[in-house]
Amino acid sequence: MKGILLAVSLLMLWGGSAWAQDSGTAQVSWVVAGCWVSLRAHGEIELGVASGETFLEPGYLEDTEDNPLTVITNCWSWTLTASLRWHPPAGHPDPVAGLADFQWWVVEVLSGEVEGWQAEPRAGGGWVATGRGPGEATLLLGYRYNLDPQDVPGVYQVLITYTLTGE
Amino acid sequence: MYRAIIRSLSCTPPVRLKLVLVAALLVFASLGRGEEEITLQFPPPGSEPLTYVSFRPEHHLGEADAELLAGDGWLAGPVTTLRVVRTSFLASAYSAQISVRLVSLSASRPQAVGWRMGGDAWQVFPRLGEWVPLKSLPAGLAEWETEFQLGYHPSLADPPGLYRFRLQFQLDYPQLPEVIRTVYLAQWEMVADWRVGEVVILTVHGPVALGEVGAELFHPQLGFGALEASGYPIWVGTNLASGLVVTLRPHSVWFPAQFSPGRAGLLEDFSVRFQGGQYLPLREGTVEVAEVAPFVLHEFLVSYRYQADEQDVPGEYGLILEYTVSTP
Repeated sequence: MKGILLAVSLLMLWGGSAWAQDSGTAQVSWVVAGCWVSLRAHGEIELGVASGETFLEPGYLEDTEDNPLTVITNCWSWTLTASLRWHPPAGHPDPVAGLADFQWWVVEVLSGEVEGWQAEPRAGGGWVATGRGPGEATLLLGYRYNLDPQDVPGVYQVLITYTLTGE
Repeated sequence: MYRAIIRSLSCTPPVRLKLVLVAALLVFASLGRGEEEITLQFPPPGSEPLTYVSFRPEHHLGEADAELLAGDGWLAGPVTTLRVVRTSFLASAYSAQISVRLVSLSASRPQAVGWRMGGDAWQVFPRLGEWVPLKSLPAGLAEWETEFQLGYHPSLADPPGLYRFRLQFQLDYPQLPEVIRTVYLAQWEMVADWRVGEVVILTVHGPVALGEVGAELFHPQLGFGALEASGYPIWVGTNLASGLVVTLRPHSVWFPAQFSPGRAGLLEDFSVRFQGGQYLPLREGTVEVAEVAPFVLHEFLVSYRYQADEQDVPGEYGLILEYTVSTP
């Protein structure tokens, strides 16, 4: 038996496989140090021209087509608000209260986790929508101006500033 | 010699086994004998001995492992004693010169064979067969001894196997008349052997911190930015003639619980660039990133990149990559 073991050990010196393998690991890490929001808003909208016929029927100018607001964020939640500035033409009899005739609302939520939104037309500034992140959400906005006998001829403008906050 | 014996055998298995045993015994017997110190006298028996040299004729250096082949160290044999005793008129009236030369080497680099005395720096042989001065013994110095060590400076260029070199020493009396100089010339030999194992080397850089995804990278409308880190080294080498294949696979990942894309999404946004090539997106499974030639230590510089997007919620992210080298 000793002889057999000796012979085997000697032959192994000359033989042996040439297959080999080794492994090592590398650790890579990074930190996301906060959350941010991004808002992409539609451009300028022309509601049209109020004619005598329009005053009678339907009594307003409106645009509810393709006015998107897109929220992009890596925050857990977000809130969208609006503030309005009214620029009636010179000679308007009520340059302050006339803004009440301008209404806006969320016509449709196209995408994203939007938990609540202003679905009914409203005047003045305020809350627009609330959603959950992270991700992207797109809302379609509608705008309406209710014609008023006090509306003197001229160009009417409303500047809407949307503010998006996240946390 | 023993291998030649075995190869020449054309006998039946039982007879071959017996001969193998005999050969093995011869091997072990010769290994044991050479590890003892011996003393030779010069001139040889028959004349009055005037010079005695004590030394160890065989040196077993051991095995060169991956650390040695990748590094700059020496495979050192045991520390032995080299002792010279001179008597009579040779000691009192004549200086002597001890020299050494490399007679044979079963490797390709004589400069990798060396010796050192008394723990000094390693000395190497410039080329095969060239005498190199070892020590001058002045007249009047009858006895001299030193710690003596043989070594080999291994390299990844050394294929696996058994290696051996043979050294020849001489103690010469240059001032003696030529007629009797050869009579008192002392010559002796040492042999050293060592083994080089099958070595595969893989050294991976340490942890990489890509940094922070900050507001400056969060520009959805212009395209999100990316975190990037470049120039992290990986060393790969082998002394196997087949060379190596380097592969990479994601091992484990971590991210905040609210990171909804999960492991697959993280890997999709992570990419690796190997040695200045293109960034390769990381996916599940193993990807081959390089083939390397043998006998050279290769350095690869790796870059890592993470593409930020809106799904990256605040928190800590990371992954562990596993590099593997294997023979094809």
